Amino acid sequence: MGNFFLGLFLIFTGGIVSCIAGARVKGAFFAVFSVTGAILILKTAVCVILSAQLVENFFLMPYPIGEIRISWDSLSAFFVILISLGTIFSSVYAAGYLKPYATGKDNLSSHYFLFSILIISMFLVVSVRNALAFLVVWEIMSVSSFFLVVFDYEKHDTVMAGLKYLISMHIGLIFILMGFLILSVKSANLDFGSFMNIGLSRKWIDLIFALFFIGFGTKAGFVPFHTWLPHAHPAAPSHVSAVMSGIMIKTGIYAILRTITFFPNLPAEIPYFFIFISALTCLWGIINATMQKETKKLLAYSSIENIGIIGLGIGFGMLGRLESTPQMLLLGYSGALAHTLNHSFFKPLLFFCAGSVYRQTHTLNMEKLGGLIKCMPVNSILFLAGSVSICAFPLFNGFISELMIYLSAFAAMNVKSPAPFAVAILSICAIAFTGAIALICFSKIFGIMFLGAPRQNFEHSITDNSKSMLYPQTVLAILCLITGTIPQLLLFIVQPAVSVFLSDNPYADFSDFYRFAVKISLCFFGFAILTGIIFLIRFMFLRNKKYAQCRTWNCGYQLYSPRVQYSGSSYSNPFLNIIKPLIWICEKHYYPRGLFPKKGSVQSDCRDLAESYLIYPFIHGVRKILNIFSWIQSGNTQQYILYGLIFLVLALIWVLW
Amino acid sequence: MIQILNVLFLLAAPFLFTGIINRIKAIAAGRKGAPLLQQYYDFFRLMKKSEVISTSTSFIFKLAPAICLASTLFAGLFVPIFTHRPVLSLEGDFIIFAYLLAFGKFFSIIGSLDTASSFEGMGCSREVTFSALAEPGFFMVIASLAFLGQVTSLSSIIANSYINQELSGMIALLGAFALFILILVEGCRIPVDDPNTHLELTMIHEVMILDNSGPDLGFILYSNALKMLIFSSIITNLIIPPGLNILLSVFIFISLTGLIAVFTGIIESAIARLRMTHVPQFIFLITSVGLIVAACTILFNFGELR
Repeated sequence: MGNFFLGLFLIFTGGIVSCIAGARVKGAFFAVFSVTGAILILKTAVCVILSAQLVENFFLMPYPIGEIRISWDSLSAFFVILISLGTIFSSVYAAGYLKPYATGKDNLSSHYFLFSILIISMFLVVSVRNALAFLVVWEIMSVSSFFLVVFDYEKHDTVMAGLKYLISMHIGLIFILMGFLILSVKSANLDFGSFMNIGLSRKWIDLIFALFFIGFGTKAGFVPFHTWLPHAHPAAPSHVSAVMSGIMIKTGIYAILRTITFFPNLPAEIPYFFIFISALTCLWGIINATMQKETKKLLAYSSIENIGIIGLGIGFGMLGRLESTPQMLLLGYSGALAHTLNHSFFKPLLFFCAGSVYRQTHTLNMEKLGGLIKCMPVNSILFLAGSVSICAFPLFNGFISELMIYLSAFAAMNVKSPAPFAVAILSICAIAFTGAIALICFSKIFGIMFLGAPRQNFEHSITDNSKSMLYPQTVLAILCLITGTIPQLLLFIVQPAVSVFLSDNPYADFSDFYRFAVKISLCFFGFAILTGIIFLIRFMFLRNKKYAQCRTWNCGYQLYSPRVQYSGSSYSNPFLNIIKPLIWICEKHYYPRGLFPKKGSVQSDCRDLAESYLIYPFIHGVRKILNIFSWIQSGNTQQYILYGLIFLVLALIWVLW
Repeated sequence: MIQILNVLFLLAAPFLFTGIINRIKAIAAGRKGAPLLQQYYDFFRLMKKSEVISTSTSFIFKLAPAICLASTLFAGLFVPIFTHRPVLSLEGDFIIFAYLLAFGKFFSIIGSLDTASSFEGMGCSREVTFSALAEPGFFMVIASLAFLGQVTSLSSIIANSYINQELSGMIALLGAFALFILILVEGCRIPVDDPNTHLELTMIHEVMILDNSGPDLGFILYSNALKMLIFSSIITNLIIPPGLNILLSVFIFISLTGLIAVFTGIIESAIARLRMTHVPQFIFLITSVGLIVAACTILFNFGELR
């Protein structure tokens, strides 16, 4: 644990030092300090998780707080590993990404400092075991990430997106606060350990769970509380989006998992509700992702989808506990945790790649890009690796965690009641459909951005980025490949973390799954060999033959222009036509008019129905009600003096009474 | 032993399957038709040729067909052929099977997006949409059959839902029907797509491979035929009861596969191609049959019907 605090101190020092250092070396200093700190913490956490021990530290604080327990069980250690890995990659990437801002941007120092604060607060969120301290670090995390999002504060849209994020976080915070209030009043203690065996009635558990689900679900991005994600992620600089999407929203998942440990006996409705919301989340996320034109917005929606998949795993874990089906419980939770870890590899990878493209082309709109694979080959291959992982294709890591969740749903076949049976079949279809739409989504983003011919000519030449940006991406892609082909590695970390949910038998039947994982990796090696053989055959047949080059076949049309290529919106249009009721495409047409018509144009924009029909009407309603009282705050000084006078008179009466 | 036969069948039979379909279509149209083995000649002719490659492509274009073929072939190894013993079998392998096919599809799509052609982009977007719509139905059918037999590997799912009990038999038949529609969708056959169409605007799969030539085109044609054969093998094995004499089951298997090919040919000759906007409705048939299969499974396991 000493190493943990030393690591946090190093990261904090990194933040301070980068404030003092010269503009050009800020990033380098920050990266050195935070990587050292994160490696130190990573090493400790790996030791803790492999030895399956509980590490605890106590801090005595003045009266209202009391004793703060900082403790790592294997679940915390798992998330600490995730955060430290994310810290290492993103701080190295940040150094390269922010280099062009070294001159002419005045908030670089505060950016690095707040970045270190964000990292520290995330580490603390998963470590503290005291409700009040938890709320404080949770709030620090939200606020510091808000300042990171509004890095480009000159842009109006960025500030609006940041505010949306900040407000959502605070509405969520109110719910969390209420949940913790009820729990701490009931147990007369602020320590998490005391929440476990209070013996609450079913209604109380439902209420507390709902409060926590709304609060933490807002952070994690469950539908319909996901609306901040698609705004905040594109607005933030890429390393911040990577940290937020790869790690920070996972603290929401952590908190939900921690909540589940409070209640060993969950009421039956909670798992079903959770599975329903999660299935809705993954379908909603991926359907919206498919319609986006902006790369980072698309990735943000795909994060929502992945949170839904993780949620399905958690739901089946809970259902397994309820129906006492150990296999379902085990595979559900381990699938959820494995997917959490995998997502923290491939999503930062994708955000980094999208950021590198933005750094070179200065646009996030994929309709303006194309053919980048010829000028940014390394970045393109890495993006392909990320896309293949996120679509859960074999050989890459997304597959293994989705397989675990599928198998946990299949474990419902041993249950002797129809409800889990039906829910499992429908959820399997939901995951399958999500996977199929993910194929549309990621073939679109990869195909439109990187393949084909450039849709727009850029003034400057476009190349791969500097090494400090490419190295983290490469390492992440390699991690995706390794954990995909050798899933046993993943299980070593996931297995102890799952043991938190198996209070009775900590190492129940994992050996079967190890054997299964070995079989899967053998299968994948077989697949790789087969692919190699087919390439060899192709090579043998084409050896000594010259291939001819010519233009793409265009039905004999001679005047080719890259602008006739299929665009991203036209690519997703057939799918849009089928799911039209779920999507609102807002189109504006400007027709050419008059005898000598000038340019006409069409503008289309994809709106999130949940935002337009659920969140906004709610906010408008609240505003209408609060407007009734707006006369109180008129801005008129005399009126405020009158309030003071009334207060004094009332106080006088009260004293004299 | 039977595993080696399986692999040989997968390697050799696909073009015969499509050959039979083409022959039936020719006969129905009043023509004599190409010889049954014509597609093999075409394949080897393509393999001997060199390639023409578009200037706007990158290495993805060259990688894609081979990866597509490899993943389809490897997916085929999970499918039981002749008897209920496939080459590879493990728990939950039908998920690996489905995702391998999707992996192949992903590469074939990005391979043709690489050509920067508007037509190929159009074909890709249609193909990917239609196959996405087919996916939940396929999973629903196979998952229900898995729940019915309480097993998770593809071969045992198929083996455990053989048609001898009346009810599980009905469920398996419905499943077979859904899978047959899937053959038409995945194999790009009428009424979803017409492999012989001559207008780029109406094509789905064919338009994606306009720029492929030589061995790459051969790989694509081969993997497409292979995919149809794989799905037909699943149907065939749903119908064959397990535990038969090997010779007998090989005989039944081959004749049933032939029958499915003939049936596909008859369907292709008998009905017209659907309008592009009506194709999704046809594909949703798989999901709706899948829902019936799922409902039957639940009734079978828990209801009065037991």
